[in-house]
Amino acid sequence: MQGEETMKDTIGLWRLAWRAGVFAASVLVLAGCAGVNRTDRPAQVEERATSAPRPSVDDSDVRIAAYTPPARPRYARPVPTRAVAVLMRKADDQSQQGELDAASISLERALRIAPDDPVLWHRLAEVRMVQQRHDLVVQLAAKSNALTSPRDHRLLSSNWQLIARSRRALGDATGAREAERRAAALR
Amino acid sequence: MSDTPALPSVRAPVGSLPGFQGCIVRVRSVLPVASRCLRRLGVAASDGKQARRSRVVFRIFTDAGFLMASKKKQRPRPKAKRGGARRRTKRKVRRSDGRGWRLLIGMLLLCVLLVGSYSIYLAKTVRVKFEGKRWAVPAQIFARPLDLYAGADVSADQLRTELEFLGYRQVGAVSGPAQWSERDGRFTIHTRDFVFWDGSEPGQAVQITASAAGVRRIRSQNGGREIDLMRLEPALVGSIYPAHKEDRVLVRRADLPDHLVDALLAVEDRRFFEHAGVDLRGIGRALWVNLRAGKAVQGGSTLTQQLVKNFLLSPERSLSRKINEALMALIVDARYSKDEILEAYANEIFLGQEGERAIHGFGLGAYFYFNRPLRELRVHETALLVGLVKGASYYNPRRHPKRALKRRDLVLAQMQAQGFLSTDEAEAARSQALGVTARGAAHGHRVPAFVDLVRRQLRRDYREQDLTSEGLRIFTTLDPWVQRQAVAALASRLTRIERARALEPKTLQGALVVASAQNGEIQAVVGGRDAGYAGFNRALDAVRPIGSLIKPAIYLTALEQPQRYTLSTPVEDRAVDLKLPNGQRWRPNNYDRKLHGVVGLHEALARSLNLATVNLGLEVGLRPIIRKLRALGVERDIQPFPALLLGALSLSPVEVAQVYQSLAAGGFRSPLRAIRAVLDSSQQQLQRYPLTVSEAADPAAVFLLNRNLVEVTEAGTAAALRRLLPGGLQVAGKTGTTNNLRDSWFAGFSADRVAVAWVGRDDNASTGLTGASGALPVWADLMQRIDVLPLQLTPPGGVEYHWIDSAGRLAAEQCEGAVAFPYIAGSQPSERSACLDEPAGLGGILRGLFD
Repeated sequence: MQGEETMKDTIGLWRLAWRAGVFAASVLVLAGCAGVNRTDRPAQVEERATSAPRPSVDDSDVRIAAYTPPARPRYARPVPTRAVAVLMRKADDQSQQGELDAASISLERALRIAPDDPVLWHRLAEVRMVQQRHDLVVQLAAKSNALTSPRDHRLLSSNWQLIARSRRALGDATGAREAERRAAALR
Repeated sequence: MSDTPALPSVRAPVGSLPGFQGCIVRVRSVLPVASRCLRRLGVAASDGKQARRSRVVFRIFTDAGFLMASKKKQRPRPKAKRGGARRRTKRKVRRSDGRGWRLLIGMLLLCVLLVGSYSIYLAKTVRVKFEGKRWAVPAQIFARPLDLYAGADVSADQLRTELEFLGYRQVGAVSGPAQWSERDGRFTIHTRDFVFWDGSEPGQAVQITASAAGVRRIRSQNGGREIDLMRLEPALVGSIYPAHKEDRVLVRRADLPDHLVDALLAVEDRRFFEHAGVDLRGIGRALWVNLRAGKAVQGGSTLTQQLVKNFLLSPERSLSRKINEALMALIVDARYSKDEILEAYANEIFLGQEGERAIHGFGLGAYFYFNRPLRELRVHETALLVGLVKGASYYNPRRHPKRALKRRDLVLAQMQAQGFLSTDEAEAARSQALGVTARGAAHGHRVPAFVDLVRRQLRRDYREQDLTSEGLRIFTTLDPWVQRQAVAALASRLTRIERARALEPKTLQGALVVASAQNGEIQAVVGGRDAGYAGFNRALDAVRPIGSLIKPAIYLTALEQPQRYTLSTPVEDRAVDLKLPNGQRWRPNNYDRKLHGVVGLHEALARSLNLATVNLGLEVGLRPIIRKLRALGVERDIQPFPALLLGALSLSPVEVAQVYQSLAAGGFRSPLRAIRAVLDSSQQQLQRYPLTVSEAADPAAVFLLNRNLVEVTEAGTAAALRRLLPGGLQVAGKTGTTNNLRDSWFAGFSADRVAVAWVGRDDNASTGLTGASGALPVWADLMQRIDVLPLQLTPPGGVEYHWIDSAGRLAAEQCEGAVAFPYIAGSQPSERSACLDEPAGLGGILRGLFD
């Protein structure tokens, strides 16, 4: 229990740090490339952008913009962490009471609110693990990994462990060992 | 009965046996019990001694025969004039009748037998109809519920529209469920109770602060407690009604508002709770009123009789049916309670017609005319529904509002006259407008294309009969807000294009599919520019060549081999001349019919260069590309011909949406779904369609491709989007155009949604439009209307950015014309730009910081 709580906290911290890092990086990139990039978009917008057409820009500038991270943060409004937290708590309660289908419904609802939250995908994989839906576990954990910061070793490793267990259950011993190796490398 | 005209068979001379028997046969075929008893008497009559009696029996036969035969044959009542001669003949017969005791007893006995046995038969009919399943209850289709939380991407505008979809009333001060008020961006909303697929939720009163940017804060109305998450119940958007087109929303007796019952009593049957199914006083009164008025102004039918008429009998009008009706009404009243009868009546009554769909019962009537549940209707609204009982098409409030208003006020006046309403209440109700919703806004929001998709998906798991009769509740993924915007975007843009290009109006057609990018939930389906019309569903059934929409799959297949291909790998845009197995030669062209020499791989995709793509595709191989298409979600047969590389593959818009969903979700395909859950009529979950994903492509390669697809929209063939979309709204996408400009496609995605637009003609003639001039503006209009979130692609593990100069060599940020491209680690070019060996210019860095 304690361990799980700690892990949750750690994951949360890592995500926070990752987001802060991404934000800082984008601000830096913005400041750094202002000359090349001419990104005159507002960094922080309270209101959604209006429909006013953008002044035309010559092609070379735009091509560069296509390959740099966009300047606007993901959410112009408060990040809905509390709504997601409510659903995550609910899913936890439901899992503990063995209501696994209900838990997955709660997690799916949370994913509609925060579709690129790797922790939610990881939780969903865990619920499916208990339900022994191994094919799905492998996919959900891979999806979680694709959204996880490369520095969040703990979450990456947990996902690889889920993949390893599911592959083993599916009879893919080689794949399982490979996944275990990757999980271990991240610890 | 003396003046009932005879049937042909009865016209035979009195006493002649053939006619006699013909009559028996007729009677027997309808009424076995009575016919058996009659046959016995008939045989007795043939012995000659009782000739007179036989004539009487014959009279009874003829009448009974007529009664039965007319029921079967639906014979219209002949005009009285024509029957004159026959009537005289009958009078003669009657005069010759005897009046002996025996005869009288015989007649009475016969009558008792006839009526008695017939009643038994009727009672059985009534029982079967009433105690079996009374109605086929169509499956109800719900949109998605709306999640609300601080930070939700729901603008004040959208919130208002959602409340309108749900039929909530805007009021000055909220006092109960389904009401809302607004002051300076602060909404007070009292939600309804609702049973969701994951449990029931009681209604609550909340205060929501929302602006154009979305929801800022939600608090409970009293106490001001902060609410982290809530939802508005889903709107009812349609139903799957059976082949006989009767649609209804079942209501129980307890759901019927008192004022509805009052209005029914006042207008249709004031002694309903007193009479025994037939109201002789009512008939007398109606007769008196009608006689005085000189025309039929009042009916004497009780509610029970009306119910019997609609529920149990065919719609023909004849005296025999009237008698059946009265008999059955007596039976129904004896067997069932007044409440049961009222409930059945409330669900059976016909209240309107929309195309081929018949609106039955007050439950659906309330949605159909007012877009809200029956229990929320007010007096003036129920009065209108009750007024419609008399003639739903004659008083159709949408077509004949004046007539309907007059009728409603008459109902209100009757209610007042009979003491159901005080003068003030009646006055207040009369001062209200009709309040009927426009056809398009009402129940259903007219989403036939989406309902069609839901129906197809359900058919895999359910029998058609269960869908149309078991009262299932189907919770779908439809986003009514997105759907409304999609419908408007397609219709208005096609009209604009036709006008701007002087095309014949209404010749262009189109389709739109919108899905959630990350989980594949279909949010909107538009099957044509007249979206309210349930015709050819182009979103599902217009299977057309996809042209350049196929290219991302080719480039993805290449990028998944990072040691061979990166975004900056040079590709040759040179002429292609292939000899096909059938001996023909294939010489494709670029759209501009030019050759572009060696270009970067990313540029070949951004500019949609055909020849570079064919060269690349042939190098990569058709088989791996086909495998990739399959992984991305194409289920059709794919022929391994080189022309495939230029999109010689026909797909429907929804199939294309699946492919682009896999890309939008970073390479993780989620099968497109239109349904979340199915509940049975007792709210038990029958089925759920859970979220699944499967890895269709390497996420790192997909990231590279998606970056390239952003370039398409910013500097490539879809650069027109920069004019059409608000600044800073980054999206990724691809145009598609087919031979002779027959099909114009655009498929693309933002952070939250993937959408596919198709524009073409139903006769498959040339539209004169490329992907960029037809489907692209439709797509752009849609994305702008639904206010999507800009893409913010975060590189997955294993992706690195490197600065590359114009010659494709490793460079640095300060180098002239250098661009940072993402690479799968280790695949970046090793050749170094000369610029790297120059001393790092401090000036350059400073320029970068302060320019």
